[in-house]
Amino acid sequence: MQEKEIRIINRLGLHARAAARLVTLTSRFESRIELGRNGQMVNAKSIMGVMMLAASKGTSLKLVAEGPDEEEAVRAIEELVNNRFDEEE
Amino acid sequence: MTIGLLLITHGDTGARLLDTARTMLGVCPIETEALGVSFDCDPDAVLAEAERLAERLGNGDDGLLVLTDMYGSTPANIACRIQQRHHARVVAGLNLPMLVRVLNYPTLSLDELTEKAVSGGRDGVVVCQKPEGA
Repeated sequence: MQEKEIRIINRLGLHARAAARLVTLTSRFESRIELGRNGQMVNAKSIMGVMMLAASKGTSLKLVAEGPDEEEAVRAIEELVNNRFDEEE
Repeated sequence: MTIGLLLITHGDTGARLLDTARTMLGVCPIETEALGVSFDCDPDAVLAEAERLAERLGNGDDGLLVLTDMYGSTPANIACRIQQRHHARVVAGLNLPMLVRVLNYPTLSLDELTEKAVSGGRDGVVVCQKPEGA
């Protein structure tokens, strides 16, 4: 199982389009992937689940992945978040 | 699964929600149509149009999911009548979270997708917390 803390750094936070991009990415992996904050974990392959985190800029999220491609999944998610979901700011 | 999705709503509510969801997701993985019902419409004429769309969208054997905005209203009554002649399920209470959740699960069966629509619509109603530091 992989566990990592990731920080949301884009200006708009984990808004709807960013959540959609994240879910598109996570859905490619076989592993179970969850994101959470304040003890609430959600399925990172569910756009509604991800949006329920209401994660604005600066929010730290716990990322948990478990399965055959867990390492690759965590790497890809970190990259997407650190690239600000390919947004300009 | 080749489920069709039909939105039957007051005015252009459904079309606007669909545009928003499509822009948000970047794709629309389920074939979807929006049918607007005006206050001065002839319900029988709208039903005929709805039947035509249902025929096209529900052409596969997997069925048709119909989402409508307000239970008991004319659009919802038309939506319910679709079930008489088509393999369809109807969910009232359409909102953006419901639509987004449905479009998130294009491979589910009609019954499973119906459950997702209901949970998405319900889970999207939230009392929002004051932002930290506000």
